[in-house]
Amino acid sequence: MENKREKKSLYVKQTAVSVCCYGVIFALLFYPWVVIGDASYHPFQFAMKMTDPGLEALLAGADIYVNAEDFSILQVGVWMELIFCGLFFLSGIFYLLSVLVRKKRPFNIAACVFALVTFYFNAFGYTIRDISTDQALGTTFLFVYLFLSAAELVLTSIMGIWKETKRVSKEYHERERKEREEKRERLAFPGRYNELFYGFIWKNFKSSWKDYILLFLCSSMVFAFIVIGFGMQAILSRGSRYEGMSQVFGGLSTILKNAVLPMGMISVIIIVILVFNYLRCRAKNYGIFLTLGMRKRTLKYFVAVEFAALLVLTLAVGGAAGTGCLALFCLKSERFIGSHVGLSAIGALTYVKAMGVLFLIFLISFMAARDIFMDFNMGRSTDLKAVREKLPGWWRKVLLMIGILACAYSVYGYRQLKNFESVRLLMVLFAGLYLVFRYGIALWLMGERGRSSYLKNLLLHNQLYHKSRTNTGYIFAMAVIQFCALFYFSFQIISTEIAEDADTLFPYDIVCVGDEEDEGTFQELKGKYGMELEIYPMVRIASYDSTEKTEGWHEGEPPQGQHLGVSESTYHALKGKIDASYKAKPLHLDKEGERVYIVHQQDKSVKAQPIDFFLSRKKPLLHVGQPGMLSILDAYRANVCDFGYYHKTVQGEEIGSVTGAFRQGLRDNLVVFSDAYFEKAQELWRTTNMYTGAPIPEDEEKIVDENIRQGLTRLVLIKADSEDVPDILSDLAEFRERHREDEHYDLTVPCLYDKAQAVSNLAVERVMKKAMNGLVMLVSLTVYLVLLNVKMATESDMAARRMEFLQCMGMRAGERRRLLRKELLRYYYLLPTAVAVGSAGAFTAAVFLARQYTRADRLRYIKLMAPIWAVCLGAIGMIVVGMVEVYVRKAEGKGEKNGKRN
Amino acid sequence: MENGIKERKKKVSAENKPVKQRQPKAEGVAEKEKAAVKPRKTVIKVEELYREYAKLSHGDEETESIKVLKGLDFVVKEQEFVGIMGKSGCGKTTLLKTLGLIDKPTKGNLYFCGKETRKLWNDELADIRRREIGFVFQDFYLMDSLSVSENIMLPMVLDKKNVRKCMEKGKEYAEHFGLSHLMKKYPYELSGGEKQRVAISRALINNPDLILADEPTGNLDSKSGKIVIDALERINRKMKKTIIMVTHDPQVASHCKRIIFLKDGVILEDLRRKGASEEEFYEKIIERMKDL
Repeated sequence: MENKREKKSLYVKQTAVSVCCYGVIFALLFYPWVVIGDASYHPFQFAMKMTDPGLEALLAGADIYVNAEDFSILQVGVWMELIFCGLFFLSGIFYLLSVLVRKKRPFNIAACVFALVTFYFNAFGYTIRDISTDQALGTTFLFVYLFLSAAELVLTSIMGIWKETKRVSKEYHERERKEREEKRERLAFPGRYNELFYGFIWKNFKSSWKDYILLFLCSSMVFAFIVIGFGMQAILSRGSRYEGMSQVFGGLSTILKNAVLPMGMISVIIIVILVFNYLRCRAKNYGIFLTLGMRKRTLKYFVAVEFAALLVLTLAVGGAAGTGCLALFCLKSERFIGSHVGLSAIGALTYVKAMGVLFLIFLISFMAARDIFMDFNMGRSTDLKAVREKLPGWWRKVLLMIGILACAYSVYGYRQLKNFESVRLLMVLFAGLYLVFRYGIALWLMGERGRSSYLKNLLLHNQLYHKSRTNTGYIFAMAVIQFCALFYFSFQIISTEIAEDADTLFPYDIVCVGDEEDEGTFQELKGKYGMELEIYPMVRIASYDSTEKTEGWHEGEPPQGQHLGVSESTYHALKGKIDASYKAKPLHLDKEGERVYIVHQQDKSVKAQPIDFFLSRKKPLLHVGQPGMLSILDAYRANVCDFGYYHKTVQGEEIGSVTGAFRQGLRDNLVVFSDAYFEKAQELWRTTNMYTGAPIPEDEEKIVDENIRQGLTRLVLIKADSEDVPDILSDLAEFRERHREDEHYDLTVPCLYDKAQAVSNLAVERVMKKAMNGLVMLVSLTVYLVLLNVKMATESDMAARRMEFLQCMGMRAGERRRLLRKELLRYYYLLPTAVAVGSAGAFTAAVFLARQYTRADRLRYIKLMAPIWAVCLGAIGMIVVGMVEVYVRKAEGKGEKNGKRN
Repeated sequence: MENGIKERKKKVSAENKPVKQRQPKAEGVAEKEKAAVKPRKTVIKVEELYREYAKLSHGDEETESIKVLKGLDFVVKEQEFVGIMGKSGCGKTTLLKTLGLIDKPTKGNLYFCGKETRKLWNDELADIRRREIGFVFQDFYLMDSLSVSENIMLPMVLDKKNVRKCMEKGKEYAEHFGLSHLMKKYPYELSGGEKQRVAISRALINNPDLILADEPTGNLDSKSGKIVIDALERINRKMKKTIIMVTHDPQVASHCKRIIFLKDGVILEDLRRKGASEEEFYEKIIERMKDL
């Protein structure tokens, strides 16, 4: 009886909900949310208007223009939306009737589906929304329909199972509560730890004090470096917005980015090694605590406190050191850049970012040391620092081969201009080097076992056998650090030193790009100032991707590059102008414009780079005209086969300056076409959609400034007296104003370049480049020494034990010292240095090829490189020998002391 | 071959000849009488106990499962002194670690004082290790950063006992094991025997039900070994503590009341002393060791 009453009550409640929801929906369905011009209609009213007077008339009345091709699609879309809206209405009616006559049918599910389809059509289709004057209103109403119908469905369903759900939930919560209570009771551990406990914890911590300090110093150094990296980025960000300074700041940002990547990697290696080492030191004591019954949670708390303190100290000391360096930079940079350009503040974001990176590095370290955290070495008193690390087992030869191939591939790839000396190739090299060291050393040691030299070298190679992974890690990191110093950073310095002078890079005082209408202005100026004026025909060439960054799918299209398209005869003329001895040779270009010749206008210190970075193809994707808005993806989606961008074959290319290296190879390079194709190219604007860049079909109307535009057609080169240049520039203000629209797409590609400004920027950039790379080079060499010191400091006890053992075995003191010295110098200085020198040599040769250095350039480079390398390696060698000697003596002394005590 | 064994037996006997000759019969009778009066509590009960380790090999690609313990069943009652013997790698230490709740069984049940350990939370296991089990390891397992007195007091300190009580107990056990003059020293300044006595004091300080000893004499000379095994025997007899001891040494094992022989992860034999003298038991052990 009660059950029946309950059922009845439930039915009444469900009916009430359904009637309320659908009542509101029906009321809203008759609200006029379709707004066309000034008129508003509810959907049924609008459906009637669609039949009489029809959509076309409605749109015409509201002054809404839809082209003929799109109209039919629109009409279908609108009808579909209205039909689904009608179906929604009908489903709602049927559902409500079925509820009221107590024969409930699932029409509410159908209504919900129709509401969803209508909403989807409205939001993503070509429908009412596209012709509606108030789009938001329509979308809101459709969303409300969907929401109410879904709410009705969910609420009525929940009401049906509410009681049962409530009971199950109550039981579940009760069970959980009991479990919690039981757990609390069973795990109750009342009271507080006494002062002895904290004393023990402190003493235990103090026993690894040295390792902690080492970790703290290195992590502070790394954090300071990270702060400097992000801080410099922040400081330089404002300068790039200044007229004429974007080149300098852009250049500095690139230098910084280039320096940060390899140094970041080295930082990770160092911190990982140190955290791993520190945890290994502590593992035994952690294990004792746990075995004797300390709760894991308590131990984890103290470990967390140790690392939290480390982080706080690191943030404070490293942050202060980094900020100090940045302050020093700001102070000194005014000398180079000038006080007229204010640098940005470092900002809190810099520290937030740097902290994020530091946390990430520590996270990687903890992940690497996860095994130690797994059981904290419970019940084992083994010194993890002395545990043998096995040589890698299977696949040694295969992985070694992969490593060698990776190294070879990276060198091969680096010599190709299309790979823009990518940092990714350096990463491939580093991965390859790691495999070569890890598996090469293992193979060599395994092979040695069968040779007679095995026993002779047993003591010398013992550590390589015994701690193969750690020692390979050290050798690898040391080689990478030295490689960065000898190649990566030193190349930036030396190439800047051998780069062309300002007059060679900027042969003209003023370079402009304009159109036919500007010719009169320039002729006037010629008459007024008596300047040398040359005007050549040109077309604007857009390249699809002007940055080396790979855009994610959500980032949209890459920014396009803009370059100067000239004919072959113009190119020869321009070359003749800058070099009287130039002899024109045919460039073998075709009249279809398939083959092009490219002049990368940049100096020798700038990395080789293609004019189009899209997918790093050998064939650049170029377009004649200003950058179009139609993207390749859109073009494919719309099935537009011809979207105005074509892959061109690079018939030849050179690196140098013809009109001026104002954008250092990133923009305004010369793209040379055959004379025959250039004539066609000059006329292409007549059939090219000015917005999309795609060709306009023949039958479509072409209207100037409506859908076609000629754009820039003249390359103007001016040589004038230096005294007249400022006046000429002020006279050209009107010219710039006229071409503002042409500069709109990319502000770094102006219509006018001024040599004086460019020369001054270049001088600043070069000084900064040399200074920063010199600094980073020194830092990386110091990091190598720090790493060697870390190795020696963390292994000093082990070395002392070895010395003691060898002493007991009857080895003479001299021999013992020689053994340790030989091991350190051979495997931790000579081996990584030799590999670094070899790799740096190969990469230097690869860059010679990529940047097309002449024989004279190469000789000049080598002449400068030789003393730098000699000084670096010599100085480092001497310091290493000194450090090793001190270490050997200390180990020997400690060993003797231990021996005597025992 | 037999001669060789006999010679070795003689040598071992000569080196570690038991100092005390007990009267097994009288003691045995007394034990039986006691048992008749009050049934002894089960400290450890093991049912179908398996322990496997995943061994990573060949560049962490293949995992190999190594079965160390293969379905062990036995019971240890209170006040028992059980020895576990077997060849290297037969699973002795793994068994001891599992009994000490340091390792968890892969399969099977382990009951500690009637509690099914599988159903206990990790913190409860830690509490049992701290309060109800004392550990003595072959390599002492002392903290070099703490002094002798601090090492002894450590389990009490971890159990949140008050400072005065910790000090008193520490002193008491140090005196009991002749360590009073070494209280301020650090483990690296002690001899092996002294270190092991520190470890035994530490194991006893929380008055646990069970002492687990992993080759307690393994790193000691015969004199120190003798002191340690005598101490353990005294702890078993006078303090009524249950002891489970892993050992290789038949002489040391002869002090136990029962020996579990392990071979390849299974129990080969559960040998009980049953009133035999130490020497007789020793002979029996030597006999059984041939089968290992």
